[in-house]
Amino acid sequence: MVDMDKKLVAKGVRRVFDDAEKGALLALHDFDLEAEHGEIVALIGPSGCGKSTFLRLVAGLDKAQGGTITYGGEEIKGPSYDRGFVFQETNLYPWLTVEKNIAFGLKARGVYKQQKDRVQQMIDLMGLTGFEKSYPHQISGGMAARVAIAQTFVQDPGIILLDEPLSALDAFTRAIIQDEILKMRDRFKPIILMVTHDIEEAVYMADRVIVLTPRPGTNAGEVKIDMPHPRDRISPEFIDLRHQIMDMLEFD
Amino acid sequence: MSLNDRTMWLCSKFSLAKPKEIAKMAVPLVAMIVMMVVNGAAADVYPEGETTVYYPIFIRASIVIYLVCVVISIWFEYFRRHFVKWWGTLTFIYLFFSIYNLCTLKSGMFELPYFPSFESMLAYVFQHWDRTLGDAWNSVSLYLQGITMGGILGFLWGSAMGYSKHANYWLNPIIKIIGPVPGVAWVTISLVLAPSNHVAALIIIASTTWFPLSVNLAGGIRSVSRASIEKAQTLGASNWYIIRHVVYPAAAPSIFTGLFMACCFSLTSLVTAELMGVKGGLGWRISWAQSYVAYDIIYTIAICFIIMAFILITILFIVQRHTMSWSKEVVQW
Repeated sequence: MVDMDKKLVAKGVRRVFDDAEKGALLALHDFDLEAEHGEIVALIGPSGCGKSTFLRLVAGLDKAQGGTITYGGEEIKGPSYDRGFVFQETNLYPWLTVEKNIAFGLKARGVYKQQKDRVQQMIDLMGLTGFEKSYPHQISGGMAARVAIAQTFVQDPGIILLDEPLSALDAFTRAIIQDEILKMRDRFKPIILMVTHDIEEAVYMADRVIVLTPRPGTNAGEVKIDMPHPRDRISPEFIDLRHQIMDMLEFD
Repeated sequence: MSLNDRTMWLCSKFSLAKPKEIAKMAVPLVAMIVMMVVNGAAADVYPEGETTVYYPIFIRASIVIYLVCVVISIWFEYFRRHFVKWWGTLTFIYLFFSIYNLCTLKSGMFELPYFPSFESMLAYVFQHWDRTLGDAWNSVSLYLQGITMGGILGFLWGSAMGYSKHANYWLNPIIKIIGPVPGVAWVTISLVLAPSNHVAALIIIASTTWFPLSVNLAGGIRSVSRASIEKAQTLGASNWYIIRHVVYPAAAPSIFTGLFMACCFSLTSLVTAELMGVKGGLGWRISWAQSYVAYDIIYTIAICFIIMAFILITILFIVQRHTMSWSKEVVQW
Protein backbone atom coordinates (compact mmCIF):
# COMPACT_ATOMS: atom_id res chain seq x y z
CA MET A 1 0.00 0.00 0.00
CA VAL A 2 1.20 3.46 -0.85
CA ASP A 3 2.03 5.89 1.93
CA MET A 4 -0.40 8.74 1.30
CA ASP A 5 1.59 11.33 3.25
CA LYS A 6 4.60 11.17 0.95
CA LYS A 7 5.13 14.28 -1.13
CA LEU A 8 6.94 14.86 -4.36
CA VAL A 9 9.13 17.95 -4.01
CA ALA A 10 11.31 19.42 -6.74
CA LYS A 11 13.45 22.47 -6.02
CA GLY A 12 15.60 24.52 -8.38
CA VAL A 13 15.87 21.70 -10.92
CA ARG A 14 18.29 22.32 -13.74
CA ARG A 15 19.14 20.13 -16.72
CA VAL A 16 21.68 20.95 -19.42
CA PHE A 17 22.14 18.84 -22.54
CA ASP A 18 25.48 18.64 -24.27
CA ASP A 19 24.85 18.94 -27.96
CA ALA A 20 27.74 18.32 -30.32
CA GLU A 21 26.55 20.95 -32.81
CA LYS A 22 24.72 23.54 -30.73
CA GLY A 23 26.91 23.30 -27.63
CA ALA A 24 25.37 23.25 -24.17
CA LEU A 25 21.60 23.46 -24.24
CA LEU A 26 19.82 24.57 -21.10
CA ALA A 27 16.51 22.67 -21.09
CA LEU A 28 15.24 23.22 -17.58
CA HIS A 29 16.25 26.01 -15.24
CA ASP A 30 15.37 26.59 -11.62
CA PHE A 31 12.13 24.66 -11.80
CA ASP A 32 10.05 24.02 -8.67
CA LEU A 33 7.13 21.70 -8.11
CA GLU A 34 5.32 20.12 -5.22
CA ALA A 35 2.61 17.49 -5.45
CA GLU A 36 0.54 15.36 -3.08
CA HIS A 37 -1.16 12.03 -3.33
CA GLY A 38 -4.48 11.98 -5.12
CA GLU A 39 -3.51 15.07 -7.08
CA ILE A 40 -3.20 15.41 -10.84
CA VAL A 41 -0.73 18.09 -11.87
CA ALA A 42 -0.55 19.00 -15.55
CA LEU A 43 2.62 20.50 -17.03
CA ILE A 44 1.96 22.64 -20.04
CA GLY A 45 4.28 24.80 -22.11
CA PRO A 46 5.72 25.41 -25.55
CA SER A 47 7.63 22.65 -27.37
CA GLY A 48 11.09 22.02 -25.99
CA CYS A 49 10.44 23.73 -22.66
CA GLY A 50 11.63 20.71 -20.71
CA LYS A 51 8.28 19.24 -19.58
CA SER A 52 9.17 15.73 -20.68
CA THR A 53 12.71 16.21 -19.40
CA PHE A 54 11.29 16.90 -15.97
CA LEU A 55 9.17 13.72 -16.08
CA ARG A 56 12.26 11.72 -17.00
CA LEU A 57 14.13 13.23 -14.04
CA VAL A 58 11.30 12.25 -11.68
CA ALA A 59 11.28 8.76 -13.17
CA GLY A 60 15.02 8.49 -12.54
CA LEU A 61 15.77 7.88 -16.20
CA ASP A 62 17.88 11.02 -16.33
CA LYS A 63 19.96 13.03 -13.88
CA ALA A 64 19.61 16.70 -13.03
CA GLN A 65 22.69 18.92 -12.90
CA GLY A 66 21.26 21.13 -10.22
CA GLY A 67 18.51 21.23 -7.62
CA THR A 68 16.86 18.33 -5.86
CA ILE A 69 13.92 16.06 -6.49
CA THR A 70 12.66 14.10 -3.50
CA TYR A 71 9.76 11.76 -2.93
CA GLY A 72 8.82 11.19 0.70
CA GLY A 73 12.00 12.99 1.69
CA GLU A 74 14.26 10.62 -0.24
CA GLU A 75 16.22 11.80 -3.21
CA ILE A 76 15.44 10.14 -6.52
CA LYS A 77 18.49 8.28 -7.76
CA GLY A 78 17.30 5.86 -10.44
CA PRO A 79 14.23 4.24 -11.93
CA SER A 80 11.83 2.39 -9.67
CA TYR A 81 8.46 0.71 -10.10
CA ASP A 82 7.20 3.17 -7.49
CA ARG A 83 7.39 5.89 -10.16
CA GLY A 84 5.52 4.52 -13.17
CA PHE A 85 6.00 6.11 -16.57
CA VAL A 86 3.49 5.98 -19.40
CA PHE A 87 5.31 6.92 -22.59
CA GLN A 88 4.04 8.84 -25.58
CA GLU A 89 4.47 5.74 -27.75
CA THR A 90 2.85 2.84 -26.00
CA ASN A 91 6.00 0.71 -26.41
CA LEU A 92 4.17 -2.50 -25.61
CA TYR A 93 6.27 -5.63 -25.90
CA PRO A 94 5.07 -7.14 -29.19
CA TRP A 95 6.04 -10.68 -28.18
CA LEU A 96 3.80 -10.61 -25.11
CA THR A 97 0.02 -10.85 -25.01
CA VAL A 98 -2.03 -8.04 -23.47
CA GLU A 99 -2.23 -9.98 -20.22
CA LYS A 100 1.50 -10.68 -20.10
CA ASN A 101 2.34 -7.09 -21.02
CA ILE A 102 0.31 -5.93 -18.02
CA ALA A 103 1.91 -8.55 -15.77
CA PHE A 104 5.45 -7.67 -16.96
CA GLY A 105 6.39 -5.47 -13.98
CA LEU A 106 4.92 -7.82 -11.38
CA LYS A 107 6.87 -10.71 -12.89
CA ALA A 108 10.07 -8.69 -13.14
CA ARG A 109 9.81 -7.87 -9.44
CA GLY A 110 8.95 -11.45 -8.52
CA VAL A 111 5.59 -10.59 -6.95
CA TYR A 112 3.38 -11.98 -9.71
CA LYS A 113 2.20 -15.03 -7.75
CA GLN A 114 1.02 -12.97 -4.78
CA GLN A 115 -0.57 -10.21 -6.89
CA LYS A 116 -1.92 -12.24 -9.81
CA ASP A 117 -5.50 -11.07 -9.17
CA ARG A 118 -4.50 -7.47 -9.78
CA VAL A 119 -3.80 -8.23 -13.44
CA GLN A 120 -7.34 -9.44 -14.13
CA GLN A 121 -8.74 -6.61 -12.03
CA MET A 122 -6.81 -4.11 -14.14
CA ILE A 123 -7.92 -5.78 -17.38
CA ASP A 124 -11.55 -5.45 -16.28
CA LEU A 125 -11.10 -1.87 -15.04
CA MET A 126 -9.55 -0.71 -18.32
CA GLY A 127 -12.18 -2.43 -20.48
CA LEU A 128 -9.73 -4.94 -21.93
CA THR A 129 -11.74 -8.03 -21.05
CA GLY A 130 -11.75 -10.49 -23.93
CA PHE A 131 -8.42 -9.21 -25.28
CA GLU A 132 -6.18 -10.88 -22.69
CA LYS A 133 -4.67 -13.28 -25.20
CA SER A 134 -4.34 -10.77 -28.07
CA TYR A 135 -0.95 -9.55 -29.22
CA PRO A 136 -0.23 -5.81 -29.54
CA HIS A 137 -0.41 -5.92 -33.35
CA GLN A 138 -3.93 -7.28 -33.09
CA ILE A 139 -5.41 -4.43 -31.04
CA SER A 140 -6.27 -0.80 -31.84
CA GLY A 141 -4.29 2.27 -30.82
CA GLY A 142 -6.80 3.08 -28.11
CA MET A 143 -6.56 -0.42 -26.70
CA ALA A 144 -2.77 -0.22 -26.76
CA ALA A 145 -2.89 3.04 -24.78
CA ARG A 146 -5.15 1.34 -22.23
CA VAL A 147 -2.70 -1.56 -21.91
CA ALA A 148 0.19 0.86 -21.40
CA ILE A 149 -1.74 2.65 -18.65
CA ALA A 150 -2.73 -0.66 -17.03
CA GLN A 151 0.92 -1.82 -17.16
CA THR A 152 1.81 1.06 -14.87
CA PHE A 153 -1.25 1.18 -12.60
CA VAL A 154 -1.13 -2.57 -11.87
CA GLN A 155 2.05 -1.94 -9.87
CA ASP A 156 0.25 0.54 -7.60
CA PRO A 157 3.07 3.09 -7.82
CA GLY A 158 3.20 6.20 -5.67
CA ILE A 159 3.78 8.46 -8.66
CA ILE A 160 2.48 8.09 -12.19
CA LEU A 161 4.08 10.09 -14.97
CA LEU A 162 2.03 10.52 -18.11
CA ASP A 163 4.03 11.78 -21.07
CA GLU A 164 1.29 12.61 -23.58
CA PRO A 165 0.12 9.01 -23.76
CA LEU A 166 -3.13 10.04 -25.44
CA SER A 167 -1.77 12.45 -28.05
CA ALA A 168 -1.92 9.92 -30.91
CA LEU A 169 -5.55 8.98 -30.31
CA ASP A 170 -8.72 10.33 -31.86
CA ALA A 171 -10.72 12.81 -29.77
CA PHE A 172 -13.46 10.32 -28.94
CA THR A 173 -11.15 7.58 -27.61
CA ARG A 174 -9.09 10.19 -25.83
CA ALA A 175 -12.13 11.46 -23.92
CA ILE A 176 -13.02 7.92 -22.82
CA ILE A 177 -9.50 7.13 -21.63
CA GLN A 178 -9.27 10.47 -19.80
CA ASP A 179 -12.29 9.37 -17.75
CA GLU A 180 -10.70 5.97 -17.16
CA ILE A 181 -7.54 7.61 -15.82
CA LEU A 182 -9.65 9.75 -13.48
CA LYS A 183 -11.42 6.61 -12.30
CA MET A 184 -8.06 4.97 -11.59
CA ARG A 185 -6.88 8.06 -9.75
CA ASP A 186 -9.92 7.93 -7.44
CA ARG A 187 -9.24 4.28 -6.74
CA PHE A 188 -5.46 4.25 -6.21
CA LYS A 189 -4.77 7.91 -5.30
CA PRO A 190 -1.24 8.20 -6.70
CA ILE A 191 0.47 11.47 -7.52
CA ILE A 192 -0.11 11.97 -11.24
CA LEU A 193 2.10 14.30 -13.24
CA MET A 194 0.98 14.71 -16.82
CA VAL A 195 2.62 16.44 -19.73
CA THR A 196 0.26 17.61 -22.43
CA HIS A 197 -0.05 20.04 -25.31
CA ASP A 198 -3.80 19.94 -25.06
CA ILE A 199 -5.11 22.72 -22.83
CA GLU A 200 -8.56 21.19 -22.79
CA GLU A 201 -7.15 17.89 -21.56
CA ALA A 202 -5.25 19.69 -18.82
CA VAL A 203 -8.32 21.61 -17.61
CA TYR A 204 -10.51 18.51 -17.84
CA MET A 205 -8.23 16.24 -15.83
CA ALA A 206 -5.88 18.22 -13.62
CA ASP A 207 -6.29 19.76 -10.18
CA ARG A 208 -3.48 22.18 -10.95
CA VAL A 209 -1.94 23.28 -14.23
CA ILE A 210 1.67 24.43 -14.13
CA VAL A 211 2.69 26.60 -17.06
CA LEU A 212 6.32 26.56 -18.17
CA THR A 213 8.23 29.23 -20.08
CA PRO A 214 9.94 28.51 -23.41
CA ARG A 215 13.44 27.04 -23.20
CA PRO A 216 15.02 27.11 -20.70
CA GLY A 217 11.81 26.02 -18.99
CA THR A 218 10.93 27.38 -15.61
CA ASN A 219 7.72 28.15 -13.69
CA ALA A 220 5.67 30.77 -15.52
CA GLY A 221 2.59 30.41 -13.38
CA GLU A 222 0.05 28.05 -11.96
CA VAL A 223 -3.72 27.70 -12.39
CA LYS A 224 -5.81 25.91 -9.77
CA ILE A 225 -8.82 24.07 -11.13
CA ASP A 226 -11.50 23.70 -8.49
CA MET A 227 -14.26 22.22 -10.61
CA PRO A 228 -15.90 18.97 -9.48
CA HIS A 229 -15.72 15.87 -11.71
CA PRO A 230 -17.14 15.08 -14.20
CA ARG A 231 -16.30 18.45 -15.68
CA ASP A 232 -18.44 20.01 -18.34
CA ARG A 233 -16.17 20.93 -21.25
CA ILE A 234 -18.50 23.66 -22.51
CA SER A 235 -19.38 25.33 -19.21
CA PRO A 236 -18.41 29.03 -19.01
CA GLU A 237 -16.09 28.28 -16.09
CA PHE A 238 -14.24 25.61 -18.09
CA ILE A 239 -13.85 27.89 -21.11
CA ASP A 240 -12.71 30.72 -18.89
CA LEU A 241 -9.96 28.54 -17.41
CA ARG A 242 -8.85 27.53 -20.89
CA HIS A 243 -8.54 31.19 -21.85
CA GLN A 244 -6.64 31.94 -18.69
CA ILE A 245 -4.05 29.27 -19.50
CA MET A 246 -3.88 30.31 -23.14
CA ASP A 247 -3.11 33.88 -22.10
CA MET A 248 -0.32 32.61 -19.87
CA LEU A 249 1.15 30.69 -22.78
CA GLU A 250 1.54 33.78 -24.95
CA PHE A 251 5.24 34.46 -24.54
CA ASP A 252 6.89 37.15 -26.57
CA MET B 1 -14.72 -27.26 -22.79
CA SER B 2 -18.43 -28.01 -22.78
CA LEU B 3 -19.94 -30.85 -24.74
CA ASN B 4 -21.28 -28.41 -27.26
CA ASP B 5 -17.88 -26.77 -27.71
CA ARG B 6 -16.30 -30.15 -28.17
CA THR B 7 -18.77 -31.12 -30.88
CA MET B 8 -18.13 -27.83 -32.61
CA TRP B 9 -14.39 -28.39 -32.38
CA LEU B 10 -14.66 -31.89 -33.82
CA CYS B 11 -16.90 -30.65 -36.61
CA SER B 12 -14.30 -28.05 -37.49
CA LYS B 13 -11.68 -30.83 -37.77
CA PHE B 14 -13.88 -33.20 -39.73
CA SER B 15 -15.29 -31.63 -42.81
CA LEU B 16 -15.69 -33.38 -46.11
CA ALA B 17 -13.52 -32.33 -49.03
CA LYS B 18 -15.15 -30.14 -51.67
CA PRO B 19 -15.36 -31.39 -55.30
CA LYS B 20 -12.72 -28.88 -56.35
CA GLU B 21 -10.32 -30.17 -53.72
CA ILE B 22 -10.97 -33.77 -54.70
CA ALA B 23 -10.24 -32.87 -58.34
CA LYS B 24 -6.95 -31.26 -57.32
CA MET B 25 -5.97 -34.31 -55.31
CA ALA B 26 -6.79 -36.57 -58.28
CA VAL B 27 -4.34 -34.87 -60.65
CA PRO B 28 -1.07 -36.17 -59.10
CA LEU B 29 -2.66 -39.61 -58.89
CA VAL B 30 -3.28 -39.51 -62.64
CA ALA B 31 0.36 -38.49 -63.11
CA MET B 32 1.48 -41.49 -61.07
CA ILE B 33 -0.70 -43.84 -63.08
CA VAL B 34 0.77 -42.35 -66.27
CA MET B 35 4.19 -43.00 -64.78
CA MET B 36 3.30 -46.66 -64.18
CA VAL B 37 1.75 -47.13 -67.63
CA VAL B 38 4.70 -45.49 -69.41
CA ASN B 39 7.15 -47.70 -67.53
CA GLY B 40 5.16 -50.86 -68.27
CA ALA B 41 4.48 -50.14 -71.91
CA ALA B 42 7.95 -49.08 -73.07
CA ALA B 43 10.73 -51.64 -73.15
CA ASP B 44 14.00 -51.15 -71.25
CA VAL B 45 16.63 -50.66 -73.95
CA TYR B 46 19.47 -48.58 -72.53
CA PRO B 47 21.90 -49.84 -71.37
CA GLU B 48 21.40 -53.27 -72.74
CA GLY B 49 20.47 -55.88 -70.19
CA GLU B 50 19.24 -53.39 -67.55
CA THR B 51 15.77 -54.22 -66.23
CA THR B 52 13.58 -52.23 -63.92
CA VAL B 53 13.24 -53.75 -60.49
CA TYR B 54 13.11 -50.93 -57.98
CA TYR B 55 11.39 -48.31 -60.08
CA PRO B 56 8.01 -50.12 -60.21
CA ILE B 57 8.24 -50.69 -56.44
CA PHE B 58 8.88 -47.00 -56.00
CA ILE B 59 5.85 -46.08 -58.14
CA ARG B 60 3.53 -48.48 -56.29
CA ALA B 61 4.79 -47.31 -52.91
CA SER B 62 4.22 -43.70 -54.00
CA ILE B 63 0.67 -44.50 -55.08
CA VAL B 64 -0.14 -46.30 -51.82
CA ILE B 65 1.28 -43.51 -49.66
CA TYR B 66 -0.53 -40.92 -51.75
CA LEU B 67 -3.83 -42.77 -51.48
CA VAL B 68 -3.50 -42.98 -47.70
CA CYS B 69 -2.94 -39.23 -47.61
CA VAL B 70 -5.95 -38.68 -49.85
CA VAL B 71 -8.17 -40.78 -47.60
CA ILE B 72 -7.01 -38.87 -44.53
CA SER B 73 -7.54 -35.51 -46.19
CA ILE B 74 -11.04 -36.30 -47.40
CA TRP B 75 -12.18 -36.08 -43.77
CA PHE B 76 -9.53 -34.10 -41.89
CA GLU B 77 -9.61 -30.48 -42.83
CA TYR B 78 -6.34 -29.46 -41.21
CA PHE B 79 -4.34 -32.14 -43.02
CA ARG B 80 -6.18 -31.44 -46.27
CA ARG B 81 -5.37 -27.72 -46.22
CA HIS B 82 -1.66 -28.50 -46.21
CA PHE B 83 -1.87 -31.50 -48.50
CA VAL B 84 -3.99 -30.16 -51.36
CA LYS B 85 -1.70 -27.23 -52.11
CA TRP B 86 1.07 -29.66 -53.15
CA TRP B 87 -0.97 -30.99 -56.06
CA GLY B 88 0.84 -28.93 -58.71
CA THR B 89 4.32 -29.64 -57.39
CA LEU B 90 3.67 -33.37 -57.08
CA THR B 91 2.16 -33.57 -60.57
CA PHE B 92 5.19 -31.81 -62.00
CA ILE B 93 7.60 -34.13 -60.17
CA TYR B 94 5.84 -37.32 -61.32
CA LEU B 95 5.57 -36.13 -64.92
CA PHE B 96 9.23 -35.23 -64.81
CA PHE B 97 10.01 -38.78 -63.60
CA SER B 98 8.11 -40.22 -66.61
CA ILE B 99 9.87 -37.98 -69.11
CA TYR B 100 13.27 -38.63 -67.55
CA ASN B 101 12.56 -42.36 -67.58
CA LEU B 102 11.67 -42.17 -71.28
CA CYS B 103 14.83 -40.22 -72.08
CA THR B 104 17.19 -42.56 -70.22
CA LEU B 105 16.28 -46.20 -69.71
CA LYS B 106 13.57 -46.36 -72.34
CA SER B 107 15.42 -44.74 -75.26
CA GLY B 108 18.97 -43.82 -74.39
CA MET B 109 18.42 -40.27 -75.60
CA PHE B 110 20.39 -39.03 -72.57
CA GLU B 111 23.73 -40.76 -72.53
CA LEU B 112 25.49 -42.61 -69.79
CA PRO B 113 27.36 -42.16 -67.59
CA TYR B 114 26.23 -38.55 -67.22
CA PHE B 115 22.51 -39.28 -67.02
CA PRO B 116 21.89 -42.43 -65.00
CA SER B 117 18.33 -43.78 -64.90
CA PHE B 118 16.16 -43.56 -61.79
CA GLU B 119 16.33 -47.30 -61.68
CA SER B 120 20.08 -47.22 -61.05
CA MET B 121 19.77 -44.47 -58.45
CA LEU B 122 17.03 -46.34 -56.62
CA ALA B 123 19.08 -49.52 -56.89
CA TYR B 124 21.95 -47.79 -55.09
CA VAL B 125 19.68 -46.65 -52.25
CA PHE B 126 17.97 -50.03 -51.91
CA GLN B 127 21.14 -52.12 -52.16
CA HIS B 128 23.28 -49.85 -50.00
CA TRP B 129 20.68 -48.36 -47.71
CA ASP B 130 22.88 -48.93 -44.62
CA ARG B 131 25.80 -47.14 -46.24
CA THR B 132 23.57 -44.27 -47.37
CA LEU B 133 22.00 -43.90 -43.94
CA GLY B 134 25.45 -44.02 -42.39
CA ASP B 135 26.65 -41.28 -44.73
CA ALA B 136 23.62 -39.16 -43.96
CA TRP B 137 24.11 -39.67 -40.23
CA ASN B 138 27.81 -38.76 -40.47
CA SER B 139 26.94 -35.58 -42.29
CA VAL B 140 24.12 -34.61 -39.95
CA SER B 141 26.21 -35.25 -36.85
CA LEU B 142 29.24 -33.34 -38.18
CA TYR B 143 26.96 -30.51 -39.28
CA LEU B 144 25.13 -30.33 -35.95
CA GLN B 145 28.38 -30.39 -33.98
CA GLY B 146 29.78 -27.64 -36.20
CA ILE B 147 26.79 -25.34 -36.02
CA THR B 148 26.41 -25.90 -32.29
CA MET B 149 30.03 -24.84 -31.78
CA GLY B 150 29.69 -21.91 -34.17
CA GLY B 151 26.29 -21.07 -32.72
CA ILE B 152 27.54 -20.81 -29.15
CA LEU B 153 30.56 -18.80 -30.24
CA GLY B 154 28.40 -16.57 -32.47
CA PHE B 155 25.90 -16.01 -29.68
CA LEU B 156 28.57 -14.93 -27.20
CA TRP B 157 30.47 -12.92 -29.82
CA GLY B 158 27.36 -11.16 -31.11
CA SER B 159 26.12 -10.46 -27.58
CA ALA B 160 29.45 -8.96 -26.58
CA MET B 161 29.53 -6.80 -29.72
CA GLY B 162 25.94 -5.74 -29.21
CA TYR B 163 26.23 -4.76 -25.55
CA SER B 164 29.69 -3.39 -25.12
CA LYS B 165 31.37 -0.65 -27.11
CA HIS B 166 34.77 -1.84 -25.90
CA ALA B 167 34.12 -5.41 -26.96
CA ASN B 168 32.84 -4.12 -30.29
CA TYR B 169 36.04 -2.13 -30.81
CA TRP B 170 38.16 -5.28 -30.62
CA LEU B 171 35.79 -7.91 -32.00
CA ASN B 172 34.32 -6.03 -34.94
CA PRO B 173 37.57 -5.79 -36.98
CA ILE B 174 38.15 -9.52 -36.52
CA ILE B 175 34.72 -10.35 -37.83
CA LYS B 176 35.10 -7.90 -40.70
CA ILE B 177 38.36 -9.47 -41.82
CA ILE B 178 37.77 -13.14 -41.10
CA GLY B 179 34.01 -13.39 -41.37
CA PRO B 180 33.44 -13.15 -45.13
CA VAL B 181 36.18 -15.65 -46.01
CA PRO B 182 34.53 -18.83 -47.34
CA GLY B 183 35.08 -22.14 -45.58
CA VAL B 184 37.08 -23.60 -48.49
CA ALA B 185 39.81 -21.04 -47.93
CA TRP B 186 40.42 -22.36 -44.43
CA VAL B 187 41.01 -25.99 -45.42
CA THR B 188 44.80 -25.93 -45.39
CA ILE B 189 45.19 -23.59 -42.44
CA SER B 190 42.72 -25.46 -40.27
CA LEU B 191 44.41 -28.77 -41.12
CA VAL B 192 47.71 -27.33 -39.95
CA LEU B 193 46.35 -25.69 -36.81
CA ALA B 194 43.80 -28.24 -35.61
CA PRO B 195 44.87 -31.26 -33.54
CA SER B 196 42.80 -33.63 -35.67
CA ASN B 197 41.01 -33.67 -39.01
CA HIS B 198 37.68 -33.90 -37.24
CA VAL B 199 38.41 -30.70 -35.32
CA ALA B 200 39.58 -29.05 -38.54
CA ALA B 201 36.27 -29.95 -40.17
CA LEU B 202 34.38 -28.55 -37.19
CA ILE B 203 36.35 -25.29 -37.35
CA ILE B 204 35.39 -24.82 -40.99
CA ILE B 205 31.68 -25.36 -40.34
CA ALA B 206 31.71 -23.34 -37.12
CA SER B 207 33.40 -20.38 -38.80
CA THR B 208 30.56 -20.03 -41.29
CA THR B 209 27.96 -20.29 -38.52
CA TRP B 210 29.69 -17.85 -36.22
CA PHE B 211 29.93 -15.05 -38.78
CA PRO B 212 26.31 -14.45 -39.87
CA LEU B 213 24.94 -15.20 -36.41
CA SER B 214 27.16 -12.76 -34.54
CA VAL B 215 26.73 -9.98 -37.12
CA ASN B 216 22.94 -10.28 -37.07
CA LEU B 217 22.70 -10.71 -33.32
CA ALA B 218 24.91 -7.69 -32.61
CA GLY B 219 22.80 -5.60 -34.99
CA GLY B 220 19.62 -6.89 -33.40
CA ILE B 221 20.77 -6.04 -29.89
CA ARG B 222 21.93 -2.58 -30.92
CA SER B 223 18.61 -1.78 -32.56
CA VAL B 224 16.51 -2.59 -29.50
CA SER B 225 14.78 0.69 -28.79
CA ARG B 226 15.93 2.61 -25.75
CA ALA B 227 12.31 3.31 -24.91
CA SER B 228 11.45 -0.36 -24.41
CA ILE B 229 14.42 -0.75 -22.07
CA GLU B 230 13.55 2.41 -20.14
CA LYS B 231 9.99 1.24 -19.85
CA ALA B 232 11.15 -2.04 -18.28
CA GLN B 233 13.33 -0.04 -15.87
CA THR B 234 10.38 2.05 -14.72
CA LEU B 235 8.39 -1.16 -14.25
CA GLY B 236 11.01 -2.37 -11.79
CA ALA B 237 12.97 -4.82 -13.94
CA SER B 238 16.62 -5.50 -13.11
CA ASN B 239 19.30 -5.27 -15.81
CA TRP B 240 19.60 -9.05 -15.99
CA TYR B 241 15.82 -9.39 -16.31
CA ILE B 242 15.83 -6.79 -19.09
CA ILE B 243 18.53 -8.67 -20.99
CA ARG B 244 16.57 -11.92 -20.84
CA HIS B 245 13.05 -10.62 -21.23
CA VAL B 246 13.40 -7.51 -23.38
CA VAL B 247 16.68 -7.46 -25.30
CA TYR B 248 16.79 -11.05 -26.58
CA PRO B 249 13.08 -11.28 -27.45
CA ALA B 250 13.36 -7.95 -29.28
CA ALA B 251 16.43 -9.22 -31.12
CA ALA B 252 14.79 -12.57 -31.92
CA PRO B 253 13.96 -11.68 -35.56
CA SER B 254 17.64 -10.87 -36.17
CA ILE B 255 18.73 -14.02 -34.36
CA PHE B 256 16.55 -16.14 -36.62
CA THR B 257 17.76 -14.36 -39.75
CA GLY B 258 21.31 -15.01 -38.56
CA LEU B 259 20.55 -18.66 -37.85
CA PHE B 260 18.95 -19.10 -41.24
CA MET B 261 21.95 -17.62 -43.02
CA ALA B 262 24.29 -19.63 -40.78
CA CYS B 263 22.50 -22.88 -41.58
CA CYS B 264 22.67 -22.21 -45.33
CA PHE B 265 26.33 -21.11 -45.38
CA SER B 266 27.34 -24.01 -43.17
CA LEU B 267 25.83 -26.56 -45.55
CA THR B 268 28.36 -25.39 -48.12
CA SER B 269 31.16 -25.67 -45.58
CA LEU B 270 29.95 -29.13 -44.64
CA VAL B 271 30.77 -30.43 -48.11
CA THR B 272 34.16 -28.73 -47.97
CA ALA B 273 34.83 -30.10 -44.51
CA GLU B 274 33.98 -33.62 -45.60
CA LEU B 275 36.66 -33.48 -48.29
CA MET B 276 39.34 -33.73 -45.65
CA GLY B 277 40.03 -36.68 -43.47
CA VAL B 278 36.53 -37.73 -42.47
CA LYS B 279 35.65 -41.33 -43.31
CA GLY B 280 32.08 -40.98 -44.46
CA GLY B 281 29.33 -38.47 -45.08
CA LEU B 282 27.32 -37.31 -48.03
CA GLY B 283 29.94 -34.84 -49.29
CA TRP B 284 32.66 -37.40 -48.83
CA ARG B 285 30.61 -40.01 -50.75
CA ILE B 286 30.23 -37.61 -53.68
CA SER B 287 33.98 -37.15 -54.04
CA TRP B 288 34.45 -40.90 -53.58
CA ALA B 289 31.90 -41.60 -56.35
CA GLN B 290 33.61 -39.05 -58.59
CA SER B 291 36.74 -41.14 -58.66
CA TYR B 292 34.68 -44.10 -59.88
CA VAL B 293 32.77 -41.96 -62.37
CA ALA B 294 29.66 -43.32 -60.63
CA TYR B 295 27.21 -40.62 -61.61
CA ASP B 296 24.23 -42.58 -60.31
CA ILE B 297 25.73 -42.39 -56.82
CA ILE B 298 26.53 -38.69 -57.21
CA TYR B 299 22.94 -37.94 -58.24
CA THR B 300 21.52 -40.09 -55.46
CA ILE B 301 23.67 -38.47 -52.80
CA ALA B 302 22.85 -35.03 -54.15
CA ILE B 303 19.15 -35.81 -53.72
CA CYS B 304 19.80 -37.11 -50.19
CA PHE B 305 21.68 -33.90 -49.46
CA ILE B 306 18.75 -31.80 -50.71
CA ILE B 307 16.34 -33.77 -48.52
CA MET B 308 18.60 -33.41 -45.49
CA ALA B 309 19.04 -29.66 -45.99
CA PHE B 310 15.31 -29.24 -46.54
CA ILE B 311 14.48 -31.07 -43.31
CA LEU B 312 17.03 -29.09 -41.28
CA ILE B 313 15.92 -25.70 -42.55
CA THR B 314 12.26 -26.66 -42.22
CA ILE B 315 12.82 -27.58 -38.55
CA LEU B 316 14.44 -24.19 -38.02
CA PHE B 317 11.44 -22.45 -39.55
CA ILE B 318 8.95 -24.47 -37.55
CA VAL B 319 10.76 -23.39 -34.40
CA GLN B 320 10.76 -19.82 -35.66
CA ARG B 321 7.04 -19.89 -36.46
CA HIS B 322 6.24 -21.12 -32.97
CA THR B 323 8.46 -18.69 -31.10
CA MET B 324 7.81 -15.70 -33.33
CA SER B 325 4.08 -15.93 -33.89
CA TRP B 326 3.86 -12.31 -32.72
CA SER B 327 5.98 -10.93 -35.55
CA LYS B 328 5.42 -10.57 -39.25
CA GLU B 329 8.87 -9.25 -40.06
CA VAL B 330 10.71 -12.53 -40.34
CA VAL B 331 12.21 -14.46 -43.24
CA GLN B 332 9.56 -16.79 -44.65
CA TRP B 333 10.34 -20.28 -45.87
